[in-house]
Amino acid sequence: METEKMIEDTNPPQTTSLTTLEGGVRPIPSSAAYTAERDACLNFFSKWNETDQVEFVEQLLARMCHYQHGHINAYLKPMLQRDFITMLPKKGLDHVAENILSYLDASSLCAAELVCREWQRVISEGMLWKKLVERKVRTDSLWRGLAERRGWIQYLFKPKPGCQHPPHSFYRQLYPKIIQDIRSIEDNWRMGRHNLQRINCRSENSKGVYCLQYDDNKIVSGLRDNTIKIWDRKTLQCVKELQGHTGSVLCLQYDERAIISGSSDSTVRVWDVNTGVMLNTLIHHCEAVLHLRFCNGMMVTCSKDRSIAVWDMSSTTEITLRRVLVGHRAAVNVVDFDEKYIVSASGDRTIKVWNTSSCEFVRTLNGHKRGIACLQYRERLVVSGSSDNTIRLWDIECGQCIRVLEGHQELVRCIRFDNKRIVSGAYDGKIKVWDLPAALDVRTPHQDLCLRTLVEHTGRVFRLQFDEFQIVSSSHDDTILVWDFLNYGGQSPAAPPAPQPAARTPEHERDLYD
Amino acid sequence: MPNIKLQSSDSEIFDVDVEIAKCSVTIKTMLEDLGMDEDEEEVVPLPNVNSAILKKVIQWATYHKDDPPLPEDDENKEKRTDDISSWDADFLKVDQGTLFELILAANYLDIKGLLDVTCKTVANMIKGKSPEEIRKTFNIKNDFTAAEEEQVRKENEWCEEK
Repeated sequence: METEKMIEDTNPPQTTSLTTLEGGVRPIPSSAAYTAERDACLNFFSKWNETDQVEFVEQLLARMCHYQHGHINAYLKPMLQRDFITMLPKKGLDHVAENILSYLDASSLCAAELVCREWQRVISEGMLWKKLVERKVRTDSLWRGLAERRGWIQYLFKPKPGCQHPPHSFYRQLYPKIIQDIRSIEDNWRMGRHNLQRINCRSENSKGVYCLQYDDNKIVSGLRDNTIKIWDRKTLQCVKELQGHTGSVLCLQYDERAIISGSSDSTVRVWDVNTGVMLNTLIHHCEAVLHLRFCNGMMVTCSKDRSIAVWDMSSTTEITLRRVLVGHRAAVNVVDFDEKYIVSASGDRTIKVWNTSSCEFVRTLNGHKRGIACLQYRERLVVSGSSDNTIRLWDIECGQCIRVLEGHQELVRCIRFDNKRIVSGAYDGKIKVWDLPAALDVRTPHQDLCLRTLVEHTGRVFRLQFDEFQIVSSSHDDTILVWDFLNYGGQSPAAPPAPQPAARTPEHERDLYD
Repeated sequence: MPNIKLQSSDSEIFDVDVEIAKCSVTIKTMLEDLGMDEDEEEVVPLPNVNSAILKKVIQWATYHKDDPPLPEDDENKEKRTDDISSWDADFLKVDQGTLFELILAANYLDIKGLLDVTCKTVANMIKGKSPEEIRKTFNIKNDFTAAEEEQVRKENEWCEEK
């Protein structure tokens, strides 16, 4: 009984294996005597229990010679193999077969499609290319941004009520087009190919844009003329002007509720991000507030007065001073923090690391030969820019400088990084794009690190922010520039028209990324 | 610790700690639905699992009995296959027939952790291989016509130019 069950699922052993043995086990047709004796043996065999059967076969095997073992092995091997992807659906377990295939990346999925018809069918009916695209969009910000900007997000996840999604073939063709699109964006970054949009702030008295932050809808900028100006991201028109500071707006950050700004008037002010109404003024520092960061109910500000202030923020109107960090021997130009460390950099040429929860000093990072103007900190990495014209990469845990980036010819005033790139702006108006993974690899020669130098600003670059598709920068030249690497040359691939549901793949999506 | 008795398709009885048996959602629901008293000498029949496989499943469940509950499938996480523990990897060094039956059993008994790790193991047998290598691995016959195969190969060419 059991033995029958055991072979029920096996692939039929290939008959060719019987002839593989040279000089064969059965060179002549089996004699009648053999057939009779064999049948008698098999008769006994089928009466025994499983354990006895196994023991008997082991006895047989022990009596055989090596070339016979080889033959048996070749006979046995396919019996132990299973075509999972074909067999699971036969048991009604299509979802398990699909689950297995959903672990594959694009190249393995391509190979799996070529295995046999049944595998191709499972991939198609399981909509595995669609699932792969959806997984990429969920886990990768580049894919996410592209899905929204190119419009194909409408074909992913749950369709709108009353709508149907296109067939599998649509997604199978979409995937390589997305890959192609990503490659061309990467190329645009490397070649410095971009579409440039310019906001001229037309400040009347003192010109210059010290700080900015942007999202898909707006750019919030802090100006030298004491105002905060909010620009519409699409039209690039000024939609709001916030007045209240009595000195230049040197730094700002906003979230979905508030804009918080720091100024050379020594105050920190809190504004309603939607209405622009001033909600709160913090008078603490005794000189210009040079930088600030806030996140999760905590804010850190730093000042020309050489101190760092740590604040608890229970709401926009309830902000209380928790601790003042002293130690720097010159103006503290920049701070950044996460739940583990507060990192500060100063004109005293040092970076200092502090424990976020206890506010205790942890260590100093030494290396820059002149004052430090900017830094960003994320995970283990700190990247800083200095008046010594260099950028340094640091491991925050051990305090080691991992890499020095040389190339700027003047003070490095602003710096940002993501997983792929470092973007820095300098006093000579130049913006440089650096290859971050290459910079972290000690074997990369120095000349391969700077991907591109972008020259458009005619004054000091004060601040920049970037994402996968663009850089937004501001300058002493009173402009904000948007460097768009997604839509180079005005070729903005429109959102593809909706394919007819259930129809054969229409022609149009071929133009999607051509 | 109270035990319950599980009966395999070939009528072998396994005495198993209730908490371990309950890692199978199927058994857990059965116990709850039947209102089975844990002291009773009742036997839970598992007609879809033979003794050899049930033995393996119990071995797996016993090793993993103190595991923290699996997080809900986080769709925002990348699907990894390189996170199989070394114990599981060793445990799953079996022939494909056994692996197949373990998948069927994990699915029938609704043991998510075991189903995940067995599926990942099969995925790892596919990953990075050419179509011909995949066919060899699982003893699959190529039933495409030459023209069909050429067509798919052409469509997938984009993937090779790296």
